[in-house]
Amino acid sequence: MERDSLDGHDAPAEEIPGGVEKPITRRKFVAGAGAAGAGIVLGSIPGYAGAKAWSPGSRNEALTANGLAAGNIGGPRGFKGAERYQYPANSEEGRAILAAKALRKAGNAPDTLVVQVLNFARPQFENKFPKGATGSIKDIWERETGIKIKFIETDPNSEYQTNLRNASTKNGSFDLVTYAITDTGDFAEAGLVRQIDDFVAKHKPSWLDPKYGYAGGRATVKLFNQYKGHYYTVAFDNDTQPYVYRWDLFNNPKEKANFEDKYGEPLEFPTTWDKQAKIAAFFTRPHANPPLYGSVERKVAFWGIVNWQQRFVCSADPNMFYFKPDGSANINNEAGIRAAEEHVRSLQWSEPGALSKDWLAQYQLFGAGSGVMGGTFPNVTKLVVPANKQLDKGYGKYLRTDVSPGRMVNGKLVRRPVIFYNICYGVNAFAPKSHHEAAYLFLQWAGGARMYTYLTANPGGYQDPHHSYSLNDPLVVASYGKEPMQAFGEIIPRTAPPIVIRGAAQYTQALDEELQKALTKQQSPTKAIQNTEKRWNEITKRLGTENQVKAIRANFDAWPPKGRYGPTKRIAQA
Amino acid sequence: MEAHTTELPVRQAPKRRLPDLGGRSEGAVSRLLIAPGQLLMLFIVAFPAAVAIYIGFTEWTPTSGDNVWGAYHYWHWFDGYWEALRSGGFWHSVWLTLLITVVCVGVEFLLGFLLALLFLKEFRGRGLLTLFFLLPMMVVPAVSGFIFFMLFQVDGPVNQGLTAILPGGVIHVHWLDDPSLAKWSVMTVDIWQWTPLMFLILLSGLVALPEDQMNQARILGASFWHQFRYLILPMMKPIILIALIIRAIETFKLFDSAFLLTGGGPGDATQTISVYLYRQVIINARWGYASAVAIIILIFVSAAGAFAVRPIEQAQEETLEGLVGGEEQVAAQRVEEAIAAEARI
Repeated sequence: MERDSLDGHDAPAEEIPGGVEKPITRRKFVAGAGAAGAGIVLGSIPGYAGAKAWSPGSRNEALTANGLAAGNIGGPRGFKGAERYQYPANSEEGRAILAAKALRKAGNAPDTLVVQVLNFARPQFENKFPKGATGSIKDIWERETGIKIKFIETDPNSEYQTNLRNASTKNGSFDLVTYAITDTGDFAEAGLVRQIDDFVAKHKPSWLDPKYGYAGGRATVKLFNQYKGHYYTVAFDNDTQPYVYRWDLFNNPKEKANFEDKYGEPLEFPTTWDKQAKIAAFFTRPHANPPLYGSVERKVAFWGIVNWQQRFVCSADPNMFYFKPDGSANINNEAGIRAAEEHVRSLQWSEPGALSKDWLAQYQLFGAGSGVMGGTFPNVTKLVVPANKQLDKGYGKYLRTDVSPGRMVNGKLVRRPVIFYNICYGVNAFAPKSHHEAAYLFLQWAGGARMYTYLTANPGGYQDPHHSYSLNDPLVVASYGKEPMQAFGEIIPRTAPPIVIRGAAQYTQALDEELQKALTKQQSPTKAIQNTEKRWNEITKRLGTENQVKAIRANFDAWPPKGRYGPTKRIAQA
Repeated sequence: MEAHTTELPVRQAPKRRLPDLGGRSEGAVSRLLIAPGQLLMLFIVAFPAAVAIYIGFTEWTPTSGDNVWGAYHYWHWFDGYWEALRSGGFWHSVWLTLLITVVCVGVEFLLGFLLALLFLKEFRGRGLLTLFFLLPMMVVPAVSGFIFFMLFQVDGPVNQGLTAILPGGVIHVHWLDDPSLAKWSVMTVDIWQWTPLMFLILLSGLVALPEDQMNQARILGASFWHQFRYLILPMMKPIILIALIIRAIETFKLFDSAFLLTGGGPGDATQTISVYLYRQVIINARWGYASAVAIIILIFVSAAGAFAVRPIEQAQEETLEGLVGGEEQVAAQRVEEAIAAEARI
């Protein structure tokens, strides 16, 4: 099958200094490289005599007059460490640039690509970063391909509505569509987002490459970029949900002793939801100064649904799925009802007004020192402001990140974070056909490991890193902090998908409405799940069971596979 | 002496010079001239309605892959209508919207009328106060929704104010999270924003009442209540009805405050019919079903509107009769004057 062409074994070797896992390819490159380049390459090969760990300074010495490191054909320039984001010809970015130039030369690419972009994502494309950079990401693309980029803005609240309208009118006035991961099914079925299997096979992005690919490998690529087993999307985000907690409180000797006295077990990061409940109850002190709330999960409509999801998906080994293989809802069971009951019960450990506050309020609580723990977004690490003067400034000192709690299933601990929103881009199928390939190439280029790392290092926007290559990058680490980046590497591979089938918004809305009624005591958690099951089955029937079943079965492949992930390193250390 | 005739010479209207109509009748030309305007109106009004009716007979959605003209592939006659009429969510929204309409319009009317009566008399600073009371109406509904969203937060200014004045520690009233309170919060915003409109309409009606009749009643010793009951209220009836109908129609469409304050929640506690439609169109992408719901609502509102207009027509007739009566008086006076003039001659 075409999609199998994007495999770790079939993917082209990454022939850049320092980043390879195929020695033969590397030797071939070294043989053809100039002396300076060869020196760098040799220095970067692990185990090479006299070679030290790579450092930006050593690479800078080899920069050529045009600001590119030897062997590279393009990328950012003008600042220390720029070569980390530069690329040789035989890399996903290099192939994209060369193909785009060829298309343009042959008259098969537009003068301008029109890119729909979320308002808060735009600065990462347009702002020069860091100091000394000769151009923004947009500038680099335009300079290297001659194809201009024009952005048209939308925002997360109106993007779905706008694109429904675009689908209904077959609007081809723009080339790239942006949407949330859960909308992929709707827009693929609507014909708005083009299937890109052919371009992926032709231009070979390195999404599965162990070094340059997505953290989490094949399952993550399927989760982020596929629908019904085909490529439609290039992910430009990482909204897998980390679990943030007050490290200082968890390591306070007095608190530790008090907790142990009360519960007869040590106070440590909760690996199960049962323990999470105990710690949440222990730390909930609304009359303290500042007040403490043990579990600041989001509960508000739309944003709060992830809390039920992350309690549900870890209820089986390897995962608890939302649907059965025949397409019927798989939630009216012990796992679904227990997740709903816990979701409702945990409201008592949340801050007052949790039902009407979104993620921003959650960040505010963490900043004020009132939030003891909760699932949130990766960018909390760079956006949270420690307003409380008693706390150490800076993320990673009083706040730390871990994989969300899970459950013991048949003697094995299963922990499954979930993903929420996640910015995606797809090729607009209604745009002129001559634009499609160039549009895809822009995504392969900007979404490639080096360029995307450069993009997410820019603190000006909310698109978060998901490539292995990004996790140790000095600029990305400077933006997010070292400690969370280590956690992301553990979180991404374990992430369970949201509902990514046609009508995802309907399924989610139905669940959300019923859970909200349970949270506000309009009905019991059991009734909420029973009603949701009924509504989900009606939606499936209305949208066509056969088609939905295909999507559901393809979606199973995107879930974390059995036996692949044991305890996290951090937990093992603990 | 020749008998003097009082008959005035009949002045003939000058004959109009009609342009050359190319053999067409005047009526045909008139119809031709108004045709573009009529066609435009037809396009603006009838075309969207026709599309909505067409889609309402289908289960079409933009995510189906067909555009709107291909909606017939998903034809299912009245299934969408039956689904709506059987749907608990739909009826919940209808009843909730009716409740909100009755409460909001009722309170707005009472407050508006009270204020209008207070402002009928001249007093110092009346102009400035009038402007002050009209301010909420001038606020963009999205802004007012957001303002109240902040005010009604659990740790927001309203609860902080209550905490300051009431004993018993910190008060956490869940204005937006509690299903019952959320309804009242939404209604509060509507009442705050639109009472000024009611006040304005009713004040303008009161100002236009004939002063002599009011003065006569006062001189004859009628109490304020009697003036209000037997003079003000009957004379204000058409204006009151118009004000009530305008506000009822507007409140029935209530969206901004419900959406901004609670998003229709918690659950569906504040899901007015507009929010219900929004959820069907924007979240569920069920454009066919939403069209069917919209048509049902249109029929319902049109029927209610026709029913509501009848008292206005009656009131108009009464007013016209009054006017006709007045003309007779004027005519009688003129006859008397004419006779007196004749006698002088």
